[in-house]
Formats: sequence, structure tokens, C-alpha cells
Amino acid sequence: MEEGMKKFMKQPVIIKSNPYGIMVMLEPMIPFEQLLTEIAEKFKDSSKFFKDAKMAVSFEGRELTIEEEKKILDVITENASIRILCVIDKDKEREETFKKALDEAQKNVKIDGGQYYKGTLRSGQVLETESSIIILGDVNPGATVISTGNIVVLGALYGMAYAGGSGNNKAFVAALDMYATQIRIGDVMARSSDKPVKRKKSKFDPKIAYVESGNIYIDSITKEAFSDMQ
Amino acid sequence: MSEVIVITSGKGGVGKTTTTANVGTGLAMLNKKVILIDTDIGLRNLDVVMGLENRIVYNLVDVVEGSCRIKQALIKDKRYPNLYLLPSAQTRDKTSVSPEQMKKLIEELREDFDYIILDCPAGIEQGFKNAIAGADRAIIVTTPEVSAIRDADRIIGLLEANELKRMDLIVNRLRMDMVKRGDMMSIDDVVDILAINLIGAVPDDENIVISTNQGEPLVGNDSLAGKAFLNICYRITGEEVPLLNLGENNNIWNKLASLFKKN
Amino acid sequence: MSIMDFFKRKSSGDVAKDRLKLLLISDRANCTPQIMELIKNDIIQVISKYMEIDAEGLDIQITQTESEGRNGSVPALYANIPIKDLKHSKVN
Repeated sequence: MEEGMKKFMKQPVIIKSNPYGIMVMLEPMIPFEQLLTEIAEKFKDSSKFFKDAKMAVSFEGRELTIEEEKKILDVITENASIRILCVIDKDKEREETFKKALDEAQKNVKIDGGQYYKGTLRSGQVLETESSIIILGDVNPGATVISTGNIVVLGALYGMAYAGGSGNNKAFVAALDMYATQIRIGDVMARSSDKPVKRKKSKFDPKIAYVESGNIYIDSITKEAFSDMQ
Repeated sequence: MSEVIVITSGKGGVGKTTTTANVGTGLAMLNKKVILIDTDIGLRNLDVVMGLENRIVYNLVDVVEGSCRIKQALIKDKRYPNLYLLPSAQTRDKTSVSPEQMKKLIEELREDFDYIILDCPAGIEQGFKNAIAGADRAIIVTTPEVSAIRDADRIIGLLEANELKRMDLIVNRLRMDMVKRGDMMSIDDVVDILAINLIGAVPDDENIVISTNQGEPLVGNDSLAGKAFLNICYRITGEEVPLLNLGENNNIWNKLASLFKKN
Repeated sequence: MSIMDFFKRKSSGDVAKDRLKLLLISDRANCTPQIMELIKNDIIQVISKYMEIDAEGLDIQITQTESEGRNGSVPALYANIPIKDLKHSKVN
């Protein structure tokens, strides 16, 4: 490791990636101002690669004061469009904690944020979002909606809805007319009954599907239903 | 000894999927272990005709690409435990699968099933090539119409060029009243033109529409089409069954019977 | 088609069958009019070496004939070549 380090140190700044973000290796000897310029250059070069990525960053090879760290972070965000969620130090245990924090943060971001889509989703079409989705239109049989957050269909849901795509069982699927072929929430799956359902044309009955104790429940949307949901 | 049968027609809308569903279910009724494969990638329909659309998790493309194991993608029929469906992908296109991949998949399935039945897409492009790649024999479905027969003829030529061991013909959607009036080609006429073995004739029966609506194949029930399909299944297994009397007219029945003897 | 057919109205089923038969002959032969024209010119050229023929009156078509081996019929090329003069019958 020491040998390797020495070899790498010929370059003042090295960026390495890991599953949760990047590790930046810094030359310990050169003056801090020079180091900042090197970092700026390095990140400018690879800004396309990092485009709008959200990640955790860790620094190695040089002891940094809090102020220095802050300056480096500023330089990084200025030169590459990265959103740094947190800075991690080498400690494995703490990395785990941060990783969990990051995962949780992303989950929440996805559920809180939302997008909307206007139009009918037809057979064979797949709408996949990294946030909750509101569809102004119908989801026809054979169409699929996949969301890491919640799914709300302001129309009829005949196709497949997959909410909480990253394994979030707290997500829900709601539709004005609920005739979904299949609903998946997190890691729970439910399918429609095999007997043809009579379509109640006259009665307006919006429904919501959610997970409770490992099963998917579909209820009419009422105040009680909301309070029943965990 | 398993047999791989492709159900094909060239023209769309002549009843390939209905035939696949009914023949597959019928063979399962005769205690055969059967798997139906929908090879129409991008336009899957066999699942709805079988009434199994709500159970699909994985599909043919997932299996071929190795995203899941074969067993995970197989859907057990709701009525016959020895009948399975491998659904097609709805969101992909025909080029997602190659003939070589189909051959490999079929070879793996051969060990577990008596009959592997492939529902072929319309047309003669990649999807057709995929469907016929691993097949031992073909059942060509046609209706007594010029367009369907012309396409069936083209398909027969292509299958001959691919050296399929056996080809049989189903004349679907016959209307005996029209045949009697002379306003529809008879089974004789169709067989005469296409010159391949007739394995069955199915009348135009409104019960087909009803059964498709309900997602339950009608093979084996009391309707004329149900009987016709069950007879076809017997013939597939090698039993000799006389052709069904599709009309009340005895002359026609005699004609049909003699026709079947001829082949 | 016999002369009687002109007097009796053909049922649409029979019409369909006849149309199909003709259609399938050309489908199976996979022969375009252009190719037919080429064949025709080649025939004229070859025959003209030996005899004088009426190129205008020459008629070729692909029809169907009963096959001896397999049951059913196979496509066949029919040519009607009016000969004007046999004087060229000696081979050069």
C-alpha cells in the first residue's frame, strides 16, 4: 500500500470512485493553494463524467483542517456539477453509517419529490421515474409505471404499477379507477383476481394500495384509510 | 419424447393465438405436459387469451438475457397443473431474441415437457424466424380467404426451405352456410390449393369471442369450436379422429370424411 | 375456363379459388414482369438462330401443371412461339 501510494503521489490529485461516491487522494507535501488549483483542474476535466451526480466524498493522503476541507469542497462543486451529500473519512464503520444515511436521504428525496406525466400510457409503454409520479390520464392494460416513490393515477389504472422501486414498502399506489393487473410495492406483489371484475361505471370510487404486514391492501380513499396507513 | 410445434399463419388475425391457447389447453386435458411460448415480442397476447396476464413477472426476453431462471418465468395455468406459459415481453422488440437463443431455450425445455407450442407472430421477419428456429413441426392456420391463403402459401414455402419435418393445416373460421351458398371457399378448395395435410377445421363460432373475453380456452366444451379443437389435439397426438360435422348437411360431412381419408 | 362459364354466374367462392390459383403461380415462381420480359427476349434470340419466328406473336407465361412425383401441381413455363419460316433449319 505504501509503495502504491508513493507511485500515485507523482500526481498531486487522484480521484477514485467507490459504490457510494468518490475518494480523492491528495499529495501531502505541496502547498495548499497549489493543491486547490490541481483539484479544480482535475474536476473540470471530469465534469462531464460526474454530471449532476449526488455522491459522498472522502479524502485521503493528507490531513485537512475543517477550513481546508470546506475550501476543497467549494472548488469541487464549482468545477464539476456534483452535489456532495457528505464527506466520509476512512473509518470503515463510519462509512457504513454514512452509507445508510445516504441511502435513507435518497429514499426520502425520491418520495418527497414528484413529477407528473400527462397522457395515456398505452400497452407496451413503460414510465419509469426516480421520484413519485402523478399521471394525468389512464394506464392501459400492458402498460407499466415504475417509481421509486409513490404512484398516483388521476384516471384509470389497468396496467402494472410498481411503487417503491428501491425496496420501499411505505410507498403507495392510488388511482381514481383501480383495475390494476398487478401492483408491486417495494418487495411485495399482488395481482388482480382471476374472475373478471364488473366495472362499476356509475360509482366514483378512487382507491389506494399500500403494504401492511407484508400484504398489499386496496382501500377506498377515505380519511379512515389514510389514518390506517402506517 | 417431446415435440416442438410452431403455430403460424403469415397473415395476422386468422387465429394463431386462439389456436395456440386451445391446442395447448387441449393437450393438457389429454394429460400431456405442455408449455406454451408466446414469441410475439412487443405484441404479447397469449397471456390474456389464457387469462394469465396478472401473473407475469418475468418474460421470454428476461430468460434469454439471463435476468432470471427459466423456472421463474414459467406461469402455471389456473386450471391444468401440467400446462405452463412463457409470456413474451411487451416492452421490447423482436430483435431482443435471436434464433440461436430460441433453439437453446427450447433444447432446455425439451427435457421437462411433452409438447412445446410456439405462438408465432404475424409476418415473415425476425419474429417468425425466431419462432420456427427450434420447431420440429408446424401447424399452419388459415381462413378461407384469398389474403390468408396467399400468406399461408408463402409460409409453407419458407417452412419447406427450412426443412421442417412436418406441416399440417387448420382451416379456421369456416362458415358452412356461406360454403353451401358457394360464397366461401370450402375446406376442399383450401386443401387443394395449399396441398398439405389437413389436421382440422374450426367453424366460425361466437363462443370463441366469449371464451377470449373470459380468458378461458373453450377446447373440450360442447361448442362446435370446442369439439373441433379437441379433435385437433387428438390428431396431434397421433390418434385418428374423423372430421367433425360442421354443418347439418350430410353431403358436406361425407365430403369432409372422404377428404380426411385421402390424406 | 369453358364457354359454359360465360352463361352461368360463378359463385364468389369459385372466383376466389381461381384468382388464388393464378396468384400463387406467380408468387411461387417469384417471377416479376421484368424477368418474364428478359426470358422472352432470350428465347427469341436462341430460337432465331435456327428459325425465323414471329417475335410479336410470341407469348410466354408461367402456369401450373400436375406434377408426376409429388401430389399437387408445380409451376411450368409455357411458350407459344409462332414460326414464320423454317428455312434456317440447317445448323451453321
